[in-house]
Amino acid sequence: MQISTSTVGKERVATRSDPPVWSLRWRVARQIAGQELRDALFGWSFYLTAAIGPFLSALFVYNSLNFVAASGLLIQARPFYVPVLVTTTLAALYIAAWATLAIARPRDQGSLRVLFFAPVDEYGVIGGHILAGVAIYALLVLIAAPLLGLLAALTNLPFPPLLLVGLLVSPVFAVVAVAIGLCISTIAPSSRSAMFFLGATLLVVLAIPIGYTALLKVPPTSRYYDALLFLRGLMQTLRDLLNWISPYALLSAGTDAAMRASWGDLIQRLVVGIAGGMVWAALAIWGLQRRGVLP
Amino acid sequence: MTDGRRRRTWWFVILLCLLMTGLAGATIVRAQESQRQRAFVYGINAALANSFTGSFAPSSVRTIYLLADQTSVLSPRMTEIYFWPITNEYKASWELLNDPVAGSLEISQNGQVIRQTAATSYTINYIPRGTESDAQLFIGAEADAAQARFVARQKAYQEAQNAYYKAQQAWMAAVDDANQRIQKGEKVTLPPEPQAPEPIGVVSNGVNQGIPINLPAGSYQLQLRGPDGVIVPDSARTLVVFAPRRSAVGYMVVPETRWTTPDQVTDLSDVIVGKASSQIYLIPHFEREYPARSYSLLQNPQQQVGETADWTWVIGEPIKAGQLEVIADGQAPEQRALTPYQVTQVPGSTLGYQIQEFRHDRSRPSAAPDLVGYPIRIDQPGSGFEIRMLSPQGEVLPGSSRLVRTPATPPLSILILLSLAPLVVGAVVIARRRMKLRLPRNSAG
Repeated sequence: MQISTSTVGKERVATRSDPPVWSLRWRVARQIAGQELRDALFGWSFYLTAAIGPFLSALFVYNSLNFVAASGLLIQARPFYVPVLVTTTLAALYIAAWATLAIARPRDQGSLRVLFFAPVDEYGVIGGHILAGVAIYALLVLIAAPLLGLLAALTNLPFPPLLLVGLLVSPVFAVVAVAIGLCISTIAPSSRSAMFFLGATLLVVLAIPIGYTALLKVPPTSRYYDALLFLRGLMQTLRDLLNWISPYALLSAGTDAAMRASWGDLIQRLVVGIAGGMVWAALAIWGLQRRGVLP
Repeated sequence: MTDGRRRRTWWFVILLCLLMTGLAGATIVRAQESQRQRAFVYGINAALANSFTGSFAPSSVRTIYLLADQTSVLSPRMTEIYFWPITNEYKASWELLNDPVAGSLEISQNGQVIRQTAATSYTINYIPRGTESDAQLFIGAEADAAQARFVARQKAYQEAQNAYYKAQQAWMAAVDDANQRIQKGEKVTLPPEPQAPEPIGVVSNGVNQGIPINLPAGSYQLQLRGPDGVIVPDSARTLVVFAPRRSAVGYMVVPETRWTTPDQVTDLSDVIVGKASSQIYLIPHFEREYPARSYSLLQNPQQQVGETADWTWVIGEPIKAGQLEVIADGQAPEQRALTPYQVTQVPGSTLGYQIQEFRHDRSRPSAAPDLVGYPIRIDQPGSGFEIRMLSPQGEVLPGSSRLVRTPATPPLSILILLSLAPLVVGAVVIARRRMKLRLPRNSAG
């Protein structure tokens, strides 16, 4: 139980050779996760996020009912797929933003340094925040799922059971969102710049598919060659890459695979999600080690 | 002004007019003329689920898309192509030049030549089915035999048509004669009206030369090796052969109130949501789910389509045998038969339709039903049931189950209040917390 910041180098050697260190880290992670979860539950932003998803879903469902009333018939494509996707995406956005501030803000305030006076290391801190992020996400989904079910019961629209499978596995993709947020948080100079990085990342994530679609709509300027071929190819590669990196793309593809009962596809996405989460978490640990705890 | 000067002026004016007309004419001609170029292209007859689609791939198209495990035909040709800026694509002037290019098509995968195929004769017979048609491909000797059969049918039809015209003329003459005799007070029996021959029922695209291709899903390279052993310039292409991700049974949903604008139920999780007390008709068909971009480029390889991971359901052949089963909670399954219907417009100035069961009328032997489908009645709000297709042997067709629901219509305020429940919970939790923090430590317990 004696890991202290004054003997970090020695402790790292000890970490590799001493198995009980991992149980210590697990204990630290659980304590941090519990504290962070409590803090989140006592803030309005959690409940606001929990309400926005069902609120948008209610509007979406009401719009469908209105359509049936007006036209007499509606072929409801994948009922509750869009509401579930909106709810999970909002939850993932919330935890990504939460994770982006999770390290940077206490570091700005100086409380992160104080935390490291206790026997904790980067593994425990990052692990704890990932646990907390996933728990917050799971709670948001746990609140939203019965509300969506109630919405289905009130309107007599079916809630496909396969969507529950999608909801059940979605925390795996949430890990990627939390880990990316933590990675930004650990390397950013301040909490403000961390939020700026997150905003820029989200912009890039949105801009790539939109930009690629826009490029495809640009008519060729020459009859004999495509002047935008390189750009189109580049954007296509980036978009394909993004489909396997972005937690939102993984969330959407995972829910879609669950809805189609395509278990092979779902397992593939889950494996990529777990691997992505581990890589981003490792980067976050590395970032914290490099950047340190001082503001 | 002297005569000489006047003449010179006139000549100048005439020359100027000629020059301007010539220039303007040349401009007009240049604007209308499309610059054609002789080019190597692949004529494509791409197999669909139950038909073929024709297109061509000029050298600007580097990738050709075909369906897996179905025989499509590629025809290497020399033709004249020109760019058509309105649709942003090359067009072929087949009527000016349409020369087959001799050689064998080399198909390779991962650098290994897996197939080498020479051109053979082929023909496609189209059998009309309503507004669509089913197609059948014949290759080699079968193509010649099919074409011979088609020509024989065509000849027989023409002969029958000629005989019908003659019989019609004779009948008209007999009717005129009978009319005259009736006017004279004679009792006359009219001869029966001759019946028009049955339509030929098949259309052939003639016997052509092409290379049949039937490959499993995958990515391939293809090129044409000429008779001299040299690769024909511009003949190298990438060939993407793709298969459906899923196959199922879809339904065309025809609401009674707007039978001319039916909806489609494609995805397995699609739900038919209908207003209470409404009538719909279901027309089932097989369907397959393909990658949207590949399927779009299969139909037109020059199409500018976005690279997208989206999938699209493609409707295939209709299902005419079997029964539709309706399963409602707490009730025995009910089976419905495929029923023909006729549609009549509501009498009077009010717009609207009435769909009634079709009855064969002997006085109108050529009359056909407007709609053939399975009738479904949607009941009171809040109800629901499941539909599925049974084969003639009574087995459930895979992927044919769908839900039919009549929605309840709660007010928007109830739905919004429901969604705001987390805020209420949050308010309670946060208020309790704040109260607890304000209390002195000893009284907080």
